[in-house]
Amino acid sequence: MTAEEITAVLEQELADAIAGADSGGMHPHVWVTAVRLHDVMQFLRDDSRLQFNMLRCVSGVDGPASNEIDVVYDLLSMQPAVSELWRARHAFAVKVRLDRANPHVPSVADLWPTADWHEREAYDLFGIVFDGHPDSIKDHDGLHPQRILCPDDWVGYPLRKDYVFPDEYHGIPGKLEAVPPGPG
Amino acid sequence: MSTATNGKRTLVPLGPFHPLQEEPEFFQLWVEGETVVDLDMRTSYNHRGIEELSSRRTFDQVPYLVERVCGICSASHPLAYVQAVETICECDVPERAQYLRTIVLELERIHSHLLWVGLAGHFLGYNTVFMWAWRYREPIMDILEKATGNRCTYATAKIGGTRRDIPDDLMSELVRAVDSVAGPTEMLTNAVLDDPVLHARLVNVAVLTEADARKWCVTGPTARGSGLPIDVRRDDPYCVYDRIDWDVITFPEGDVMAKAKVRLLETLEAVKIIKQCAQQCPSGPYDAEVESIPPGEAIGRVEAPRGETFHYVRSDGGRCPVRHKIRAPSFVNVPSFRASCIGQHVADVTIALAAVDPCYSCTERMAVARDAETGETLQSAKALFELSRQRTRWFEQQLGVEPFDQRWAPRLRELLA
Repeated sequence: MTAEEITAVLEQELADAIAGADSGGMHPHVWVTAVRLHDVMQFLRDDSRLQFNMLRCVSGVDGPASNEIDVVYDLLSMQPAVSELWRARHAFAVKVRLDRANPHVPSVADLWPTADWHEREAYDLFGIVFDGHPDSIKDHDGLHPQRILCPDDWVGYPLRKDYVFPDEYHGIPGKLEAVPPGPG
Repeated sequence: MSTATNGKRTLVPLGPFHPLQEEPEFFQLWVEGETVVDLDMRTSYNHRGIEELSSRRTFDQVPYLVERVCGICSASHPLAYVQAVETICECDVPERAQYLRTIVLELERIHSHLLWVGLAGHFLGYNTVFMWAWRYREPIMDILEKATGNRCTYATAKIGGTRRDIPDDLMSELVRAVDSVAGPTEMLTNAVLDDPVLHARLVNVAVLTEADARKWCVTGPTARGSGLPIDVRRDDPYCVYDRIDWDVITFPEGDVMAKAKVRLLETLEAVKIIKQCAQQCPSGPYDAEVESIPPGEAIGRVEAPRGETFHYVRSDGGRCPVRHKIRAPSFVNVPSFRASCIGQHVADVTIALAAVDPCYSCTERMAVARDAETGETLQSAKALFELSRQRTRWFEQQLGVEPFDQRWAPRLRELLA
């Protein structure tokens, strides 16, 4: 299916969840409202015409100027070819725009288990909370996915544009002047 | 053994300094007797901050940064990025550049797959395989060095084309080198496939079923060894893969042996591809002029030796990418251990964990070190140089030796004069 056809199917079936679309550009995608994201993703995976059974990437994109954070989901559909082997059929992307102060979006790890690590990474680096993530913990920041790249007790989200590197982490200085000249 | 445990669980830590693999990673294996019943993975010992660094480099500089994401896939990562940027600026890449890129990508695949076969033998304690595979890999490394200037981090792809040409005489030397590897690789393939020891250790070990492969969205030889013929080179052809005669290698078994077979036969396919490219490669320019990168976003995909490398680039029309997301193949392949390793014997887990050819450097790209007050990065060359000088001075004071500058600077000046 072409990107236009996929967009048309989505706009017909889930019109209230689609906030916008760009099917002719270099990276065809639809904008989806955060509350309906899980429904849209489930539809994309299970609908017989679409069958997006591969989630390839989940990227966070920080936009401090407009006080928004985007999440970009890249999907791929793999289908049986003429032989019994499988073949990639079509690709598409889904985007969600979230409030930067309190970014919450439903987890899709129940639809694609691979989303588990992708969502942990997006929480770790952007602070996007994926509600219902299977590997969540509760602390002073509330219920959120575990960190994956930074240490568990790291403070802040390093890939946010306004992130400030800490002065010190467990005795390891974060500033050049504070580094002692050698061991001891 | 398992009868004596009374269902008691033991934790076997594997890492962070892995006894065999070169990169740090940490697996916690929960075992009952000798059977692995659960597994926990902890990564991020190789955290370097590449995505953050990428947003501070100009579009032209980023390829040289991202080829350092991984020492083995150092042609695939820059190419995925470059393709994304070329989509944004709608740049026409010259024909010759497309062929040159394909040749370097396939040379990389040969050396990466032979490296894996060697390491797999090493992990099994079968070092003959290791010696053989790495010996046959060496001519490929030599020709890569001749053609690109380096054994790894080739810096081939740049926005609009390639950085340097492969002249005709070098091209024929390249074909001769690749040809010389084809025979031994075929012999090695037959030897590995016939070897009873390798059969005993690899067949029916750590099976990743086709359903599990799809569920975990794995890519590359890991998917193709499970009967999932996903290959970016055919699914979404880039460079010249749609003009070349080659086959996607797929085996349905899903065990470690199937993945080994995929890699060995792909090596021979790569030889086929390189020879055709060298024959068909047209003469002409190998680099196009790119004026500026307009606002926009695009994805770039390349079939790296380990699977699909996926780069997402967003530009706002400025000098640097606003967002550059890198999804390396190991990031999706490594979590599939939960499906393949549980229920295996502890002794088989080392090779099962190696079966996806995991690359932890790729998986862990990000961190940021910035001065809290001035906002300057701590990774700048100047800062690191100053740090090393401070250390040297401290050692000189502690050891009571004459400072380097006083001792050697006059002598150096003398020599240079």
